[in-house]
Amino acid sequence: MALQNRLKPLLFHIIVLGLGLLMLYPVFWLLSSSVKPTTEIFTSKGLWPSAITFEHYHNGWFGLRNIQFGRFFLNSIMICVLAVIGTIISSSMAAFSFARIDFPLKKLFFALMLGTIMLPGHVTLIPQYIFFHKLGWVDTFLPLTVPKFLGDAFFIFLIVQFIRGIPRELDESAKIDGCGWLTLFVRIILPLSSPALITAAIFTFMGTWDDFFGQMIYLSDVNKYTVPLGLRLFLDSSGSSNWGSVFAMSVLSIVPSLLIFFLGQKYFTQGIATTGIKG
Amino acid sequence: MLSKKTSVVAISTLAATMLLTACGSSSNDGSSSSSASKPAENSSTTSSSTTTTPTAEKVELRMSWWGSDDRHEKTQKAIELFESRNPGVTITPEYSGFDGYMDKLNTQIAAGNAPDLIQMGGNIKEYVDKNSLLDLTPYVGSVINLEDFNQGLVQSATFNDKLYGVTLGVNSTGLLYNATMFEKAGVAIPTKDWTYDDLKQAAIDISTKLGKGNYGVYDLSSESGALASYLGAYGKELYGVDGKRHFEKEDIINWFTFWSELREAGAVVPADEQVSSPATAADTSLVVKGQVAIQSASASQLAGWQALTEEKLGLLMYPKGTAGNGMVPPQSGQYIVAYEGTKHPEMVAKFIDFMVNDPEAGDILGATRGVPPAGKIRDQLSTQATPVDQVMYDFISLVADTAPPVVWTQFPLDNELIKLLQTTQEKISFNASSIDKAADEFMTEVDKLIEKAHTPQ
Amino acid sequence: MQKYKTYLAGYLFLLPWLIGFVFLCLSPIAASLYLSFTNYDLLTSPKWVGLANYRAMFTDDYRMMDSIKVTFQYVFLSVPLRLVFALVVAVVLNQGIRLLGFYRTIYYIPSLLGGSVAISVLWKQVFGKEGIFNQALAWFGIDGPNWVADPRYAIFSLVGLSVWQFGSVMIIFLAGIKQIPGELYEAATVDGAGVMRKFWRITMPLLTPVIFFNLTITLIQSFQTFTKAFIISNGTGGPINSTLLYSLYLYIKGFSFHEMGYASAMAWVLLVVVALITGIMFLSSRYWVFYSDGRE
Repeated sequence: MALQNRLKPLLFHIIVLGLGLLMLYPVFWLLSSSVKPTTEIFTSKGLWPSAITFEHYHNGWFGLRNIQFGRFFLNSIMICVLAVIGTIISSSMAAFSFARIDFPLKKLFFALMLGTIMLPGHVTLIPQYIFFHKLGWVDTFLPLTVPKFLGDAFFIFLIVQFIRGIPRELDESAKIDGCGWLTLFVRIILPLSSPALITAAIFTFMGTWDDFFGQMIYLSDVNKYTVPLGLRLFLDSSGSSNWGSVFAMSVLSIVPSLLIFFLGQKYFTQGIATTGIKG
Repeated sequence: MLSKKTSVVAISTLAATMLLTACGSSSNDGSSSSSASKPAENSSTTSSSTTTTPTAEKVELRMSWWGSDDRHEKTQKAIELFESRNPGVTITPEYSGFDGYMDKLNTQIAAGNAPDLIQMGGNIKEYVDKNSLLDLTPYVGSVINLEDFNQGLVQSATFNDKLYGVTLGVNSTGLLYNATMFEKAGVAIPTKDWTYDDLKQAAIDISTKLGKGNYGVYDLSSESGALASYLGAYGKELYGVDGKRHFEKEDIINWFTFWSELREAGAVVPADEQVSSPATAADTSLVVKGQVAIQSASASQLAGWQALTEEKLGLLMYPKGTAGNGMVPPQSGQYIVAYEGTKHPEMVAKFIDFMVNDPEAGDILGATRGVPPAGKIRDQLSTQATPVDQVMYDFISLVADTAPPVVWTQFPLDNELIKLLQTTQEKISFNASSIDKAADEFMTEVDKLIEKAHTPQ
Repeated sequence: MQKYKTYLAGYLFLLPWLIGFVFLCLSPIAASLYLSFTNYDLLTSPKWVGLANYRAMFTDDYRMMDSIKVTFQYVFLSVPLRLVFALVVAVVLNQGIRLLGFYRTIYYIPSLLGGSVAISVLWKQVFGKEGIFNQALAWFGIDGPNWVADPRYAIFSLVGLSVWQFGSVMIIFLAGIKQIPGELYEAATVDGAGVMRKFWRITMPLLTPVIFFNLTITLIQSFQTFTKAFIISNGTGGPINSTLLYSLYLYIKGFSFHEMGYASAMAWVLLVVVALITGIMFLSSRYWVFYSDGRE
């Protein structure tokens, strides 16, 4: 009995860890390629490099003329932070309105909102570009950040679903206390939907961090380039690429998102886990 | 109690961030938009004043190209040299990898916002047809010197007697081979006079001698360059100057039958491996890994690929047929073109001339875009070429000498042809269709493409 | 009076989104609708052709049927698998066991690689002929095919990639589970309910709004999947169109073949199909989704 009780968690750990390592195999491959000598990256089959070299990291970081890779990190971080702030504020406001306030044409607007994410972005890209070009925003961070302050359908829908999981009695009691909509939103709804907000923040950060196509189209000055654009500066798929630098900088480019996730996850996972132990 | 406290903290931080971002983003908006709009204002005001005060000429240009870090560095150095020689001129470099480059360019042209100077691949005709490129003819002779150029290269960028682009580097498609594998298998390295039968024999010998997992050659039936030179070797043409195809269904059947026989003999890469390890990129090519002896490639790829492997690589001609050698003559790998909307056509022309004719620029740029087109720059560089570069120089000269004397015309809608040919090859190699049926479909679709290319929009 | 104040509040909270909708979304969307009735090659101005693009889609395009078939296969395989896998892992990783944060991060890392340039190389290491997946099958005596490259199976490797990157769906489930009040579980424990009973009686019903969200969004996104197919097939949609997802084909038409009018028509057909499916899901939701706010 006692043995079984100790074996069960052990088995659990072995399975979860084993499956996890399997899923991580590509990551190990990336890591090992980033420290292999150039002639070995594509020719050796094993994960283990014959010699470890950090020259790819050095070349990737310092190898470009007139610019260091760190610049791309700064630009990416700046765009991402603005995007996160903008998305959280604007999307939670719209979600609150959809979930809690009754007003005319609400259902129509909600349907239109969902409609905007059903049209593939490739066909609205050029009209949108022309619009931003007329505003004089091309080759600035504005086309990549300002729209985030104007709500994102995906996150509005997400937060709506969470707010609707909050019992209405709370609203009523707040109203009896004489709270207006703003107080209700800020004092009660926002804190209670914080798992959804944190989730939205993490997704926005990662989505923006990875958004190669949008950044490629709108940014032209290399000093404004972001990490995905920086990575591809080594990559001429029509000719020869500097793969060592690509892999080394790819490894580094994962780190910020990883950190954000690791730090953020406790906000949407604690709570229930404590009762889980009892059960 | 605790939760109430945390929520208050959360609210106050939220409020604080809200305030901060309100200020932060607006101030940021102001600064970045003003910095972005200023140069534009400058350039427009100065450009109008240049006509009156030629002494203080201030010109701002943008130039875009794709490539890897080596090309970025060399091109920037060349630009800096040009700027130092032409005070008042600034050329803003806009460089990137190849991914998304054409998409961005199309978007910029659609919005009327394209760079003044653009590096383009072989597809310039499409842009010429749509009036997106500047006619450079008025500057030829006076600003752009093309006397030292092979006439074929000038011709390839000339449409309706007007010049729209200047070659930055000459390139040639041919075969890339793994000499180490030939040596291991004890097969002699083919000469320039080899035939399709020789190719068949060599591929079978290599794959049988080296055993499982090793193959003589990639299935080249999906390569438009390989097909073009095959047709040439049998007196046909993929596409002629007259705007028509010069081959029949029978030729296509012969072509795919040749490769199917090799496939049955186990001498070509199996269909699935060809898909998962395409020869087009260094990271997937099995020639680099030493498992396949021959593939198609551009001569300019040699140096970059050689650096990735310890196997010895080399370049080889496509085989001969009954009508001799059908090699496609050396082509422009990349052109530099000017955007039709540029405000400074003269300075743009001056820079183009500098890129291809200036000895110092030639030294800086080297062979980063293929073999330099101007004879004297080529001579200057060949004295200091590395052994790998020398192989490329020699190969391109050889191709130039042996290519049949027909006026080579690029197939219009090349992108679509490449995709069609690849799908046809896959249908055959995966046994999803008989050669006869696939050839029928191929002919129908090719004719549709030609018709589409000739239909004015 | 009170009523109008409420309306005003509703619109004020909606204002940022409304501004964005009117200025950023509406005109590009209208433009794309207009373009769908034109011939537009990106370089010259569009020319009106009426319904020609829509007609050509269903009568004169030999790749279209392949593309539609592949897309439906992909959607109907990947959506349920991704959701179930994510839900199971979310529930398992929400038990009170040590190292959970670490495990969750491990399981999320594949999603972090998202559109990374390295992903196609990586994926071949897993699902190629000699990939680790086939090595695992070999233990059971199965000789696996080349999953990424065989036209019969390539779509499954694409489904696999989508399931492998289940992290974002998992996170939303985790956040949903977290929102369920702990007292409910405590009360159930007092009543002597087991783990499974608690899952079916408490977790599942209270999670339905989040399940509904994940289902709807995953469905919409799956119909538009582009990057995965682009990366895996080097942008070709091959072999033999077996990974030519609708959005990839739309992109090839619009940007490589310069037929943006046609691509816009494709986009609008997709919009109508997806909107219909989403509408049906919303109608069905009143029968199986339970909102704690007591409304439909």
